[in-house]
Amino acid sequence: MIPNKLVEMNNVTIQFGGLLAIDNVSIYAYEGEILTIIGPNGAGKTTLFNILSGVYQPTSGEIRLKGKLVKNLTPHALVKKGIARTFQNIRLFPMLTVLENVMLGHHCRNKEGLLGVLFHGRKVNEQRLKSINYCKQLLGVVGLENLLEELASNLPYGKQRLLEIARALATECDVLLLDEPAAGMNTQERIELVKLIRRISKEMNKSIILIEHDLDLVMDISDRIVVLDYGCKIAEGSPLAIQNDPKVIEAYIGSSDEEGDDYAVI
Amino acid sequence: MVIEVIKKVVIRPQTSLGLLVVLAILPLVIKSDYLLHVLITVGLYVVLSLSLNLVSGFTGQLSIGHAAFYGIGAYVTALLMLRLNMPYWATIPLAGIITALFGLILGLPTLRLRGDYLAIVTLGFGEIVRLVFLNWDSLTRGPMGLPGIPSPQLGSLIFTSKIPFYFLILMILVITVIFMVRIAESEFGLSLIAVSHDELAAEAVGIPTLRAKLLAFVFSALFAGIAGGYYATYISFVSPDSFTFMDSVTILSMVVLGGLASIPGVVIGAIVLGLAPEVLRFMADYRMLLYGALMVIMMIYKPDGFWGAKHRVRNAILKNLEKKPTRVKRGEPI
Repeated sequence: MIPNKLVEMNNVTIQFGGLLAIDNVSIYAYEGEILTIIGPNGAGKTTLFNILSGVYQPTSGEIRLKGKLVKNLTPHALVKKGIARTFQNIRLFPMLTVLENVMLGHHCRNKEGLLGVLFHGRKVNEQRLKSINYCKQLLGVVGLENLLEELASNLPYGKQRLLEIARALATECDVLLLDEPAAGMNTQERIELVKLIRRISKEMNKSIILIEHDLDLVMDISDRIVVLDYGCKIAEGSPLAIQNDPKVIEAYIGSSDEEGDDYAVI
Repeated sequence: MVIEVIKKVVIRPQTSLGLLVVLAILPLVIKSDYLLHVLITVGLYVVLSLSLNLVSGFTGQLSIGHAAFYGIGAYVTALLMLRLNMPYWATIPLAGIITALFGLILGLPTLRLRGDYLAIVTLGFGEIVRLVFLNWDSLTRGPMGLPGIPSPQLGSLIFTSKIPFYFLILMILVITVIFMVRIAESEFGLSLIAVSHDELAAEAVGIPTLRAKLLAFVFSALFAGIAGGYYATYISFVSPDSFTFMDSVTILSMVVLGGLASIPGVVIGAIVLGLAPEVLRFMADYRMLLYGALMVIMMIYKPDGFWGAKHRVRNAILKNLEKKPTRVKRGEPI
């Protein structure tokens, strides 16, 4: 059976004034696949995420979700269609608890109506109970089930990242966009994160598109890698193929020192 | 910790019930019309600041034109009662709905603005509404106002003394508080708080932020309109002078001083600032000075307000559900 392309982006270009941030890029991801986007700083990786999640509208090109064209949709409408994301600099709701953050992720799947909110019928209570149990289950998946009452802002950095992933999963998405999920994590947390991402993609059958700078992690986890440089796709393929691609090596060695060091680690 | 103890007492349902009983027997004890009038005014302020709290507290949208909604509610009620001879009870929903409609009309284009810009637009709206009251002579009689608004009538009881008015505002207040608590303890309420924290993140988890803000605005206007209608029939006179920029600022101060996004806080804020001008009356002209100083001191030492949102009950939705099973057992089996 040919796996399903859950999300595809065909010939997408976006221009900000005179700057061509993304130039005719096409990517896709299958169900249960982990696709990583790498590239030097400023290559347009986060811009690509912003297009996929509806923050920016592309200048040209199309995006398809489960084969269906999505166009001119706001971010919240895209979430309802099945794309969820996390942010490079964590964006939780700091004064809400861990559980409440995840419940907000699931909010778009519930409908209470004004009367339900005001009068708490049995139906509303049952739905609330179901939704809370679902959220607790997700918090169990990321290992935060014991911190339900903690405020999001009181969590350590690594746990905040996990909470953001749980909140995104709670939207019942098919495609999960993770923007540098390992940033600021220590070695142990990274190992756990890799396990978690694998579990989400293989057991829950979601497509994961991931931006990451830690190339060890990228090579370890990715099914396929896309390399961006100056807004263009310069390479695509398995981790092994990417490591030996002369164009990729050139882009990385020709770029900033920090990125070059990362590459030397491999 | 004292705060922890107070917190435990405040969230008990018995506390609110006890408070309600006290408020209900208060008019039997207080014989002074002046004191009753002060209580009624404070009650009106509590309703107004709770309604503004929905927009400026929970949703984090700075609105400094709240008196406009209050005024619209008052004028709608006054005109319906005077021109169409409608009974007060029939005007309550109409005043609320028409004011909410104005909230919708104002909110639809302007809620795309952020922060300061929205504040300026709401300020402008407040002024426009006041100027319309002032200049639409044929309808509002301009600066002369609309006198002789009839009192509500319940069967053979015509509201002439302050006591029935007191109970009426108490009823409106209780309904407002229940409405606000139910909203706050729902996913919709959480989504409003999410919008106030971070709109982009809220969008990214599937919250339609514009719709959330708009709903908050509409319900806020609805309650302000009902409060306005009450004011019209209670004072039996409305004029543009009662709905000025200063009134908007006073209501906003109550919300901020009490504690943004905190229902008990806002109630406390409205009581304190509502009573302050009366308590400080002996100082005559200097009282506004003290009032101002009080605000400055509060903002320096307690910027979170009297009872800030940080004291909110965590996971309230879950806790409310956990209380439920015992009640189900006593009732019919499921």
